[in-house]
Amino acid sequence: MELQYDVAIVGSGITGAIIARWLTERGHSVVLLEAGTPDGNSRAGFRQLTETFYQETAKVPSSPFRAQQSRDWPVYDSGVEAPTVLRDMAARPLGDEAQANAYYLQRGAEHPFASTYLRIAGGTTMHWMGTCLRMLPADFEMRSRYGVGVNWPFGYNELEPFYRLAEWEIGVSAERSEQVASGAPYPADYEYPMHKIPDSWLDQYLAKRLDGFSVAIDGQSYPIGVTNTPAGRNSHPHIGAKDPRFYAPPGNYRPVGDPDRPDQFGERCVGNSSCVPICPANAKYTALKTLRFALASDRGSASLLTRRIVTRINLDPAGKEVESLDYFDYSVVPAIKGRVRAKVYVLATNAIENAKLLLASGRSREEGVANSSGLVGRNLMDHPTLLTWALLRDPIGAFRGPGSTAGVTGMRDGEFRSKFSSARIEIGNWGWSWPKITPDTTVIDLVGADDKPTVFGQQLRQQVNFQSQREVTLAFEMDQLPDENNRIYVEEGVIEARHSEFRPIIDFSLDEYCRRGMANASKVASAIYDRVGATEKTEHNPEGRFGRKAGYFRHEDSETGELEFHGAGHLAGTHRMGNDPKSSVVDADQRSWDHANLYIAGCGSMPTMGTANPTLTGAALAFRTAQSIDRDLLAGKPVTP
Amino acid sequence: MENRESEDLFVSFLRLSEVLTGFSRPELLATGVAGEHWMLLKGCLGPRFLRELLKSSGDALTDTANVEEAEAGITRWLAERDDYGIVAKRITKLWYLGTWFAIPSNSDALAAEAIHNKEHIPSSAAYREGLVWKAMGSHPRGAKPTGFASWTTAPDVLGSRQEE
Repeated sequence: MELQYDVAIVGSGITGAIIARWLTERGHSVVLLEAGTPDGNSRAGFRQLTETFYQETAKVPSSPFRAQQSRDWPVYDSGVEAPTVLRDMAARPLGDEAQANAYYLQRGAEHPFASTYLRIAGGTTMHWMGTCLRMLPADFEMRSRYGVGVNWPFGYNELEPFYRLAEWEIGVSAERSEQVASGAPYPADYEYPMHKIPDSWLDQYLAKRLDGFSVAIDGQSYPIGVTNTPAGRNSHPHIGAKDPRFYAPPGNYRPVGDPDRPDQFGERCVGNSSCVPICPANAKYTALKTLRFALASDRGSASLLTRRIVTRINLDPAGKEVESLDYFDYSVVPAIKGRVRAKVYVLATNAIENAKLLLASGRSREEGVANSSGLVGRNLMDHPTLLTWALLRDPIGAFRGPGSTAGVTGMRDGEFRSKFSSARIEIGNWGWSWPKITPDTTVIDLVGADDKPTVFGQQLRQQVNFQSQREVTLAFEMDQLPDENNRIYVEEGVIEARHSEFRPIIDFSLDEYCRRGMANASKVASAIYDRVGATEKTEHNPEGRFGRKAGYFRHEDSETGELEFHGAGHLAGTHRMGNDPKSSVVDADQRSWDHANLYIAGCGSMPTMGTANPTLTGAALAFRTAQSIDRDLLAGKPVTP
Repeated sequence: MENRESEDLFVSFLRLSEVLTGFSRPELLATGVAGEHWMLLKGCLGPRFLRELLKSSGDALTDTANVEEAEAGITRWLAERDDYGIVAKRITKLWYLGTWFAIPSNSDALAAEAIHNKEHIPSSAAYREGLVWKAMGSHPRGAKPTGFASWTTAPDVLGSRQEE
């Protein structure tokens, strides 16, 4: 069966949704091919996600999302789950036989790539935290300013209008007056759509004790204060703030809530304290909120086809333009093959799946499609995250509210970046749940193993309270430089048996720049805990924890000589943008240098990471791409600058 | 089990749970999941073992005038038999975390066909009503939200203990 549209988009996460909405509002026809299910789109479906979450013993980010059981393939004894919910993407000990059951195959010498994602309508925003910081001007000019990494093909100022569009589409809550202090310029008349999410008691507690505090990094002093974090999470609209989106209705910003209740105003955050992995109130942004408008548009038309796994990009006989996409349709039994034709094609899955699809489609696996630069799949980056945690002297009521409402931005930029990584510190409101899976492990450890004495009754209750009330986690999201040897690739024969898809093979390690930065971060953590009177409890475990191999290494500059990093879920870099086709995969609009009717969109286009959670930047890039595609369609041909 | 005996055993189960968890019987009953926890326990444990466990723990609690005496009684009771400790730990964790942790398969405590004896959360209510959230002075994550800006205020003084 063959379908024909103006634009075919692979993936219905935030990148695909933003592009689809813009283009339908401009009158075009769009199809979104989503590998996953539409579970979150209906009230009942979303409610089921919440119920699944309640009953999952391991409340990891993917816990609400059921494994897609392919109905026409036999269940394998190994229990390999369909790639819709990639639970088993967690880092496996390198060389472990359990890798046979995992989705990634990790071939890196030392460290695992520790981040995962979702395949579902709405993409990984279904379980993201919602943090929406802009990158800093320096992040776009790492080569010029600090002699490391590369420069973007444009600077902060050129991307700034697109940040505004992204902030209004997502619905970001923040005060411009507070955010200007971050070092990123804002236009004088700009305001965020909604007022900030109020700082937690913990944030206020730390802010008071860190007042006037600074740390020395490489001989210079950096202030360590607490700043509210912009978030894609509903609060109260800023009255009078102007919406930059051409399709927005007049009047004040209208918060968006449950996609299945378009008649209702979006509810503000009510403190479910479960953003990762699910917001039962639908106060947190998910790409479903954008998709719903794309699907409802009466100016253009959008179709969301779920359970369609795109397996191949087909080029025309000359190899110049994309001619069609092949996919498997798993919404029927047995699965059938399908093909889509469009005038313009967009890959909008994520940094790993975009690269995987390009490489899988080439005449050879090394070649791939859109890969004259040889860089497809290379420069894979994350924000390797150093988790530190401590017991505060006073109760602060951990485990209340959004996972993070503020952070420390004072060491995001500085001269030291010529030598080692900077970091953004995320203040965790949920105690030690990330590093230690509290409060579950608190209870489990107190009650004790079968051969240990049992703490019970009043003592149990008291100790659970005492500890839980005082837990704090500071997560250091480290900048990571692009490294061609960090990559995802595919090989003949290495396939995921159920759906005949290639399994991503990953090589990943941290360079000395990042390791040294992390070592420095561990010292900053200790200094902060000392200043606020907390007792640090950070551990580093070479064996990993909870069955997963950690990114463990030793470094003499660190606080204790040992370090351990985790994945932040920020996948980027694998189809980087640039000005030169020899050293980049896409141009500044995310158009492939090799195929004028193909856009490769998302955080995979980011040449550097900076220290902002990348989704907001990816969303800004999506708006740039949408505008470029609109120009192409209106002109009837690619319009390159 | 006969109805009357079953009722008596349920009461004994509550009495034991009260001492193990540090929460009163009304608090346990107010969760609404006391009945389903009792059913799970009956499904996993052999009926004779269960009767012995509850009778002996009940005896240990006879004539105890306050919490300290009750806890001392249970401490002595736990030492009587390894299996009592194994089951008591799981009862405590079931109440606190809404999670049943499997009893080792070679244990004498197990029923002949304990199909539910695997690590799992038996229901959404079991999770939501987990006592750990009350013990922490918080709310179950993903449920019973406490309201916009509720996270901005000092922790509840009554719910927060000052000594370890």
